[in-house]
Amino acid sequence: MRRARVVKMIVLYPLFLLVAATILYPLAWMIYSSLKSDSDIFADVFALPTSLYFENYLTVFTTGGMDIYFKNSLLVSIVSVAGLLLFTSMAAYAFAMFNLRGGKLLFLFTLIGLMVPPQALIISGFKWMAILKLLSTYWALIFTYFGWGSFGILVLRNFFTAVPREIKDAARIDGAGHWQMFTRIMLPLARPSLATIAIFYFMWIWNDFIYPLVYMQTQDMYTVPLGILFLNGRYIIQWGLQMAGLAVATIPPMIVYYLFQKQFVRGIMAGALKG
Amino acid sequence: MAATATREQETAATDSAPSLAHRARRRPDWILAAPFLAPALVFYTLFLMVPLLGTVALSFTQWTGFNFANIQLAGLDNYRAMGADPIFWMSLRHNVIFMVGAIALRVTFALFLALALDQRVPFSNLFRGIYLMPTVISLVVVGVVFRLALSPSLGLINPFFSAVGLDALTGDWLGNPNRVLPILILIDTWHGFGLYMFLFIARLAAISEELHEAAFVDGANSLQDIWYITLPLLRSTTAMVLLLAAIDSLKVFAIIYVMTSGGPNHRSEVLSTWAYFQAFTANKVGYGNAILVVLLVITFVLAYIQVTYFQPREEY
Repeated sequence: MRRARVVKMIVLYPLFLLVAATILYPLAWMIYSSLKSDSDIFADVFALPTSLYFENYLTVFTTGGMDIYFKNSLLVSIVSVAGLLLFTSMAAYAFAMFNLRGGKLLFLFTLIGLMVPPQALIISGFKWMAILKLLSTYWALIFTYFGWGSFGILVLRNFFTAVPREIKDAARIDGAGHWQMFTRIMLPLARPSLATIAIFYFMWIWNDFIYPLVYMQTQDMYTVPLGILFLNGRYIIQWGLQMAGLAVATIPPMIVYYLFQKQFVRGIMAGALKG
Repeated sequence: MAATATREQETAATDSAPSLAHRARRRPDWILAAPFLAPALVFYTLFLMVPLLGTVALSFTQWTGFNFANIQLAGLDNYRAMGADPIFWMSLRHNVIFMVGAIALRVTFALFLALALDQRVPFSNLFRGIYLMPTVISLVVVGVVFRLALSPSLGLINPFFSAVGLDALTGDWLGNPNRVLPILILIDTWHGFGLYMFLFIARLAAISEELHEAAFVDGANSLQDIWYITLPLLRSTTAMVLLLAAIDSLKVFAIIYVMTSGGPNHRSEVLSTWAYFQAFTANKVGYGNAILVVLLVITFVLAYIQVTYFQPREEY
């Protein structure tokens, strides 16, 4: 058995390392090139930086406008995720705790959203936002993301339904109303599920490109993905600047990924199995 | 034994019994439930359902998109116009190619690596973590990085091919009509295979260790174990992942918009980029929406199959 294990390692490690290199190298290239001056980059695109050159980051955050894009993205992501967590958990609580006439039908209605591809709504969504006079405001994005609650409602309803009867009864006997039951008993219990949903939504919203592209018409309202595309067009031959912008865009989701890898994996599984 | 049975009965009773709130019934349930349901459902209705219905409704109109007074009903005209639009058919074909490519590459790759990682050699968790990394990066970042890497004069890819003696592969990638779709599919695979890999890993982890041990006791080697024990058990997961990859492939937009804008000469155009162009550049709002409806219908059919045949497990 031990020899079989060594054979496995000899066969598998080159494969694993090759795939890992294919994934990591473009990212490493992006990050170390962001620390090179343009003349260094064009002298040798592969070479590691000889000294650390932070000028690119300074320019990206000042004249490049990355400070604005970053602030916009952060604001939209945080407000959207916070709202989604609150609204989806409230709705999920209602679907799980009340025996509503027609509740099943209403629940199925909310699940339609799981099947809709986001880009199918861009044209009518744009016209709708124009009617509501929300184009180029944070609300255009925030309200849109609030509309995508189906996933959270499904996951949390399943969780709340599975909470043992004894816990619900005990709270009732203590005289808790539904709001108290929701905030004091059910939400704390649901913390792991809430974390999963929060990570899932954060990744999607931070990286979302198509809604900002359509709804955000002025540069001061760009989110990070739009901003780096703008930098790409504006600094077409200044690769160092572009790389710095790309690196900045990648840092927040990477941090979240490393801190909450388990929740992220659970989130994508739930997302995949959502049906 | 008896204790277990009792517990199961209790659980069953919990599941089927009406909720406590229902029994208490001080006020009608709807009145109590409405405040909880309202925020999520109001936003869902206003910002998902209204645009969704809008997409369908506008697809039956003719409209330049500027003045609401100028919307004209056009019946099925937009759908008839598709017949005479060669780029629509080209886009549809590209969506199909993208779907087939995504399924073939993403799923094969994901399955292969999941099986390899399941062999539990040291550090497999580290590699797992690395393989999932691209999934969390914005497709815009991925698109721009690879556009720079593929740059014909500088970049990474061409010098790399020269260095390893594959000069035949050097040259323009994104501007070459025969190469543009394959390279986009490859980059899309780079970004997305990790997610599917994790779906396989989750299923593999659920296969009882005893089954493998039994196989080894019978003298099977690792490859035989994979072929006779593991793969047959993965059949339904594989079917589910295939369908999921098909549905996901229809969402392609950002990577194409960023890397080629559908070019060169529409050779990487897909339905969503073509609809975007029609609505926002050519000012044909009705026609753009009709293209999106085609996309919606294909997605709904696949999603319907997914829901019907693969009931999601209710545990996360």
